[in-house]
Amino acid sequence: MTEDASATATAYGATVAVGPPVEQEQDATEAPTPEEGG
Amino acid sequence: MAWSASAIFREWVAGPMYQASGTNYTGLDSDTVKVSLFNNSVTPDKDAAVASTGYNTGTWTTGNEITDATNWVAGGRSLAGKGFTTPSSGVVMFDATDLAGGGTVTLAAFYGCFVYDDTITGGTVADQGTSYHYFGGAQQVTGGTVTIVWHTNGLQRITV
Repeated sequence: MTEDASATATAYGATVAVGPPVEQEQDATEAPTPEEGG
Repeated sequence: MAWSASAIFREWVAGPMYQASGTNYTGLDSDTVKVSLFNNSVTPDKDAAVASTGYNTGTWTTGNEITDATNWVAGGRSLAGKGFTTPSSGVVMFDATDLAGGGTVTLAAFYGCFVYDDTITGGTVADQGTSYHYFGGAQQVTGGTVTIVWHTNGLQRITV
């Protein structure tokens, strides 16, 4: 018994995941406090 | 027309899969494979002529492409974690790592993606498409992250 050489090629759909914004890294150095005026 | 399904391009099989001479194609494993997003004005056609299956040709023109200025730019993002396996009798699978944007993105409505070989520079068409993948409807992101989650069956399967 012979078998046909056949093939099926399929591309599949995909889904999309959405998330919140990527948080920006905060600068660990605090802004200098303005000197008090004299 | 509009999106309604996903498919492998017929010319991809007739071309690089069987006849790669002169294209610079070295295999999806070693070539750069990119994923670009498209609106619903495209007419995806698995039987399109080869000259219309490259990035920025046929229906897959930049005028229909959906981009973010920084984190999903024109031309798309590169697939990573490409894998070629034989998960069961008679089955060959092409899969990859789910593909995330480069950070926070804003993307107008997109409906599917075009997967193409960015390494192909010769033959009838450069940047030849291998397949397109429908997301089932409109997707949109405003100031958020986005990830394409590939099907559990991978991007492509061939059953022999």
